[in-house]
Amino acid sequence: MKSKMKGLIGIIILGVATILLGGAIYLSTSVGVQKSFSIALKEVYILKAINQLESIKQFLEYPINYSFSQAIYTVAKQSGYCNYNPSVPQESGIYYWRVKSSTYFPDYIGSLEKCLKKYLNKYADSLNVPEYKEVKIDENEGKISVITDSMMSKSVDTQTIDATIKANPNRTTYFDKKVLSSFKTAKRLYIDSDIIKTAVLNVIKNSCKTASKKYSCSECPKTPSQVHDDVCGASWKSETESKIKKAINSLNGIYGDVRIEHDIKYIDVSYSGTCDHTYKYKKECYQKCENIDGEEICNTVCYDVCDYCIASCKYTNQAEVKVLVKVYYPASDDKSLFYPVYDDGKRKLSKIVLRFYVRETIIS
Amino acid sequence: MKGISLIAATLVVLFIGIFSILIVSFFFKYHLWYTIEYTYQSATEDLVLLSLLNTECSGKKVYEIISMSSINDFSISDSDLSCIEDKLDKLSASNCYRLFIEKSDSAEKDIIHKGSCPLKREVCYRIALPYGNDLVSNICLVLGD
Repeated sequence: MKSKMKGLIGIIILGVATILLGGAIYLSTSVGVQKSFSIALKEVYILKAINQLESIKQFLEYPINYSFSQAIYTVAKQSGYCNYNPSVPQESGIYYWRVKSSTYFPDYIGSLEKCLKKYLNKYADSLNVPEYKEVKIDENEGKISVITDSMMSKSVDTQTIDATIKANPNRTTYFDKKVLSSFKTAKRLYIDSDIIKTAVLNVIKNSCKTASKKYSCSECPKTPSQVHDDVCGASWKSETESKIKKAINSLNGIYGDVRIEHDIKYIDVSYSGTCDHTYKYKKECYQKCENIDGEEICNTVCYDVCDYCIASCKYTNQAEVKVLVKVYYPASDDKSLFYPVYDDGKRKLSKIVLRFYVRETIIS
Repeated sequence: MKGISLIAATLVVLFIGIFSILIVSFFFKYHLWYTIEYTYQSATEDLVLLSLLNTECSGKKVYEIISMSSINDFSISDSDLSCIEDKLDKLSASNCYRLFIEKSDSAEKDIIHKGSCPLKREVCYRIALPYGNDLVSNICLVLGD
């Protein structure tokens, strides 16, 4: 009985020892695997967070470029302004660049920076990127720098790890400098020089500046407009306006990288003048006979009578024009060069169209 | 006899103990192996999608091709599509995948769809669109096992 008990105890001890040994072996390998697994998980979570931040950072050039396209499209459409500017004359959101001798050239780079910042920060909000505090455009290098004062971050918050990954969202990208040639060419043609004035002046400076006509004496004196109508023709006004339109439209065409079109919104031609009348006389004679002491004596009596008059007039011509100038970039119709923009409620590929008014009063 | 039965009993207990531990270990280890493998695959999807967006077709990054296609309701030219498909084939090394865009109206627009897999894993990234009402959209990649 005693030996039976001994045997049973031996078996139990041996069994327990075996289970403990087996458990110890299992636990040691299992904990090892779980440790590796935990480290791997941490790495994957961190890697995924880095991937997400890096993907935003890496592809930030696209929202910057899209914002720039939209900014330049808006600024060009609004004559070089991003926001309403009450100090500059405008009609329906299109501003005047010239009213007679007064010029209003916009700070288009400042406007671009303002609009670019506005659009880019809408993207930043959607992409969980911190607000951009400063946007700089270097027109000489074609460089855009966007600067914020905080980092974008991504939290990794799981049971095994609590970490925050950070990345700097400041970026510098480059744009095609030629897109700014719209503003530069327009400044050269309409602010620095004045090609519309020159074109109009060439028409009116030699158009019926003087008029001279012979009239019968009874018709004189003539008013300057009567002489003008008689000499230059009653259709002078409409003809001159047509010539001016033709002259302005002849300015349409390609100037370097841009194409320019002129849309004449208003035109009026008038003149004022003064006339000198020169009367030409002729002698008329008749026989005047008198009976003196029974003798009839006849004498020839002559006197001056008006033969005709010459009206000589000098005129000053005046032309008033209002022209909507449209500057297109690119000049070609190659759609691959167009810009992605948003207008009238839809996305489209479009040229950049700079629009502004020029109002001239030309006197010659 | 006593000695023999003691040895036999010991062997039986040892056999049962070790066998139990092995069976339990096997299931645990299989589970762990599967989870590790699955996690590894998920990280791979991120990299496949990011790599795809970074590759170039006809001189443009796939990111730009897809985001610019929003102008035409995400229609992509046949040549670009076949290029993207070719790149995705090489990057994913999978017989089944689906690349699609989540539009602003929550509709999904397939860009490329290949095969059909019972078990799928999905990864999405936000992609910037040209300026408009909706500024970003999700580009998603579903990879099958």
